[in-house]
Amino acid sequence: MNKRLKILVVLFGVLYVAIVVFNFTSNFDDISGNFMDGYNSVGSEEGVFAMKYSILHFDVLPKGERYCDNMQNLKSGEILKVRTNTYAAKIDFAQMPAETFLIEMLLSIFAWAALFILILIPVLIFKIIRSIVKDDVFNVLNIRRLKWTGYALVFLFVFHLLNYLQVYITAKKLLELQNYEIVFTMGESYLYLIMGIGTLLFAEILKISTKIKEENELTV
Amino acid sequence: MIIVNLDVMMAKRKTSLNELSERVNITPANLSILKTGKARAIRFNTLEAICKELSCQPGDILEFSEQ
Repeated sequence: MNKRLKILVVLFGVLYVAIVVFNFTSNFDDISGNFMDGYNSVGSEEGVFAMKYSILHFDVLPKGERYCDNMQNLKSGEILKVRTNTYAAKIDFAQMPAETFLIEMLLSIFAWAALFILILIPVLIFKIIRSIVKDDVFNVLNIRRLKWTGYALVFLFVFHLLNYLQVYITAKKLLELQNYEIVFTMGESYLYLIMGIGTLLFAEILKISTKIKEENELTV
Repeated sequence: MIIVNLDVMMAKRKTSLNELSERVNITPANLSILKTGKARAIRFNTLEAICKELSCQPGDILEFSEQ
């Protein structure tokens, strides 16, 4: 097997695992906190599931001055001019606007698919890496795996976009902040779209390469 | 489409696949691909070697059909 390809494949595998571990450890407090919030918010009425709070993570832009907040630096005692780009707010679930319920329902269904996809993508990537290591790059299975990975990433983009949209509509409906304006952004979800389209493009290139290889093999 | 009549020529010359593959120096598997019409392309030197061994013209092995 090509040594350079082997190094790249191993590097990719290590990076992938590192990113997953980093993401998990850096968000662990948030994940466990949100879980406990949800767990504690379940109503005490017998057999009734009554969520009390919903956490909104929304993006903001300063209304006037760019650094519109003040914060004390505890080391020097001086007052710093600061700003933030994102807020997380606890919203009473009963106040959630009816317009977003449809998106909320859709997201609840999509969440299961997203969970499945988050497990599927590493499995597909592992299988692709394994076939590369075995020197069996050009085959129909790899094309299919790459296509599925691409579609899965595009789906994750749509899922995140819907999530941002729902949060934006809810936040805009319920909140008016003193120094900030609530804005709609795609967050980092566009990365899923870029990666998804890139993967689909790569799958098409692999399809053409496989065809050429097949033709070459069938040339007598 | 191009139809390969190698089997017809081989039958006419009473040559087996293994024998011909040895004489033209290509693997029996590849010759079988050519014989069964699965081949996508044929190299000039392969065609030349087959024609030489079977004492025939390329047109005796390959045929064009409208279908």
